[in-house]
Amino acid sequence: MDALARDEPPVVAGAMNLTDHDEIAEVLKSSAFAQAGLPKGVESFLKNSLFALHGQEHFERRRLESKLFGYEALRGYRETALQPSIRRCLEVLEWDASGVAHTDLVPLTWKMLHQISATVVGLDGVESESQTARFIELVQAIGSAVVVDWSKGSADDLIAQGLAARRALEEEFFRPSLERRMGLIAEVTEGARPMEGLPRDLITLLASHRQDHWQDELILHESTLFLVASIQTTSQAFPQFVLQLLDWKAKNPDRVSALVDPRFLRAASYESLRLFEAAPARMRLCVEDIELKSTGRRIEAGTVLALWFSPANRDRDVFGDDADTFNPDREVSERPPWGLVFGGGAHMCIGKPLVTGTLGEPRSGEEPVYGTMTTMAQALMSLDVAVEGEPQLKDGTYYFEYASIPIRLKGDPTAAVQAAAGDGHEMRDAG
Amino acid sequence: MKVKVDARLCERTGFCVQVSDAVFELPEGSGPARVLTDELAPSQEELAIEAMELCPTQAVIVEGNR
Repeated sequence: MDALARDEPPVVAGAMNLTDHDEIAEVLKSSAFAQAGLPKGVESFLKNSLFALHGQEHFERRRLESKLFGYEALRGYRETALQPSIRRCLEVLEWDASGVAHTDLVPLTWKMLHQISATVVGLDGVESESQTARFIELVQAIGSAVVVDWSKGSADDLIAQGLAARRALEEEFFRPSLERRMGLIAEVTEGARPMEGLPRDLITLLASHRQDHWQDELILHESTLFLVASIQTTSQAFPQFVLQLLDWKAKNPDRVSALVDPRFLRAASYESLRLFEAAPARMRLCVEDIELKSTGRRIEAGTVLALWFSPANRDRDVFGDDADTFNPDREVSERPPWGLVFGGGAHMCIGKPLVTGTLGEPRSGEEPVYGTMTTMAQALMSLDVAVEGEPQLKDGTYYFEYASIPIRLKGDPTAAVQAAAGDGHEMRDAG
Repeated sequence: MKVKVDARLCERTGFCVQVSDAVFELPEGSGPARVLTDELAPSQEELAIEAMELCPTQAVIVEGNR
């Protein structure tokens, strides 16, 4: 299925279309452009969140929240939330006597990711099967409403459903979690609990650094942003990544051992992210006349731009003549290997380290922390994942997103997760 | 402890300079942020780590013992 061959959404009608990689990168970095599009979703769900802030207020909020994505935090999320969640998801499948299980990759991805998302935000009570199903149901409804401008259905209906889901999320998960954390913070204030005894999550962070003008609604909106951004986007990207890995495996039978090597999978995940962006385009509004340095294009204030990431991320001048192909061995020397998928400039996705993991050589005494895509792929590849039915795309949206991919797994799920927890060193050394 | 800026990833948000203009600078023009010191003073180490965690593009890299 071709991610580029999709209908043009009505929301881009009349916009100036940009497809050149460096031109889009310049727009994303420039203060001459502001967020556009998504007005209904943002106003209803993300008002006053990081997504909607600019300038110094944006910097200060980001400075506060970046504490959630440092090395120790990433390691903690991976070890206490992601890996246990993957283990539970795999172990509850029905494994037959020959060690084979059948499932669907799309809902499996949501289940594997839900706990790390809830942990980063600080939502309690997402433990049992029924709680997990309810949490995912609500986040999916909210996520569909946040990106309502890209829907083929009724915007009013989707927003109404999303708001109802958010009220339910607030009542069932957010409010009890906030109240528990306010109690913990009070204990710290009274000296009954050390500061280090507080959980590391968004709700605790915002509640303990609360400013006079902040309402609970602000923490709820920020939590909404983090939930949708952390679970929905990766749930869209990961099934595509698995399909690419399986296609690569078929073409490279002599290199199958690489598919459990986290370093290889990390590079491969960047390549998949570059090639397959779920969102059709990002919208920007030009707020002051500007001439782009990259191309000399002049843009007048008031112009709405549609930034088409998929063609830009396949720009041959940037990624080479084989830019259209999935090549985990690709070396990109002057640009991020994942292209523009995380946005750019000051507003680049704050949760990116969850997906990419730590970058560069680790400091002495530290192991690299691999991202969500790498960790989940390593577990599934260790279980010889194979597609056993026709993948189905999701209807009713301009997003390139799968609704269903039937898969077969084979092996020992506990061993697969343990191997992934050890980052594959044993398997790599043995191979 | 040392700090460096990955020129491939830096997008000149200037966040690192806002954290510490004694450790980082943003040169005129379009080039990446620069590091002003070869070896971090003890008082600069936490700031460098904060800049690393804050950088939206993950361009700031801290190396060496914590």
